[in-house]
Amino acid sequence: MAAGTAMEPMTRARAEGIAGLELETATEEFSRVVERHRPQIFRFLLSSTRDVDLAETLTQECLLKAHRNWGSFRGESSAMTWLMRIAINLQKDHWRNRRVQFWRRTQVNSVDVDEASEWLPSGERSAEQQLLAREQVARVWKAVERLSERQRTVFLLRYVEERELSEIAQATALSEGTVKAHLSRAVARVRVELRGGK
Amino acid sequence: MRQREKWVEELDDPALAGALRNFKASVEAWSDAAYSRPRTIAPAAAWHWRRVAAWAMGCVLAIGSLSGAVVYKIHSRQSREAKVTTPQPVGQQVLSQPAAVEQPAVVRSGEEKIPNATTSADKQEQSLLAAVNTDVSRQVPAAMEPLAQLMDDGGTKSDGSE
Repeated sequence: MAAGTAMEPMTRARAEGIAGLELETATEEFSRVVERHRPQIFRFLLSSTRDVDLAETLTQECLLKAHRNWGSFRGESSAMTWLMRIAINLQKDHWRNRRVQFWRRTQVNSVDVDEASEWLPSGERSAEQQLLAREQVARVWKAVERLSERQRTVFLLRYVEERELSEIAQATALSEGTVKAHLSRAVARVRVELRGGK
Repeated sequence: MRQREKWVEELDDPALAGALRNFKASVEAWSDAAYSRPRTIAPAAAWHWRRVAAWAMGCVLAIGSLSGAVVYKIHSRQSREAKVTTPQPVGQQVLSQPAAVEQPAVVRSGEEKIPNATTSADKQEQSLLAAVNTDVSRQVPAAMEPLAQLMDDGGTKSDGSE
């Protein structure tokens, strides 16, 4: 009896120590994940929304949500896929709320397709090549704009984020076959747009 | 040297592959520029002031509607009390109408004494008015004479004599 009461504080202290250590480790681990994947999450949300402020807000929300649920992340997929799935759901929720709550004060800051296509890396290209590349990018943006939400997500994850089909399937909660079908339709649409539309 | 994209092999169209490569590079350039841009806190401050103004407006509206409700309640209570404190018998009301036409000043002053109707002075005034009304009601106009005779069988005659 006496041994039990003497052991009890020791066990509790040790348990608290272990829990504290685990928490510290988890926090460090999450910080590393954020540092590594944050730019990619932001890029995906930016290409999906074409709105810098909204992309930043949704990135913050995504990481906050991930932090809250980091304990429940079982590692069945990569951390990036898991984060991407949260980002996709947040984006869906945003558009849904905006459609329903049409009186809500949400500014439309999405940049124009032409403005978005102004961005090109400064490489060793001639002015003519730059112009041609800009025109191509504008056409791809136009095609992307006309895609359905799901097709757009799949297309951007594949051709901008370079995710594998299995990863896209996990992130979007679709089967690989469905992902392939969406991707095929999206590419067909882009091809038509590049050939001059219709 | 640029790393070759994973998906180039699956596209049989070099023009399409080139366009998608340019698109990817464009998105990356835009994202990098936007990601590393300096952040300002001005919108947060503006939001703060907007919030304060909204709260102030809300408080003003709430106080206004509350005071309006209180004023309305007081007013309705006063009018209800006035109705309760100035009752008149139905028969007297009917018969006193010609008298009211003849002596409007006296009756109106009696009606207007609403707030202090419970005082003794008001009671005296009301009893006086009732007496006046009774006296006046005995003076039946000539056009009503036959009706008054029918109604006043065993009692007083229309001219007041027994």
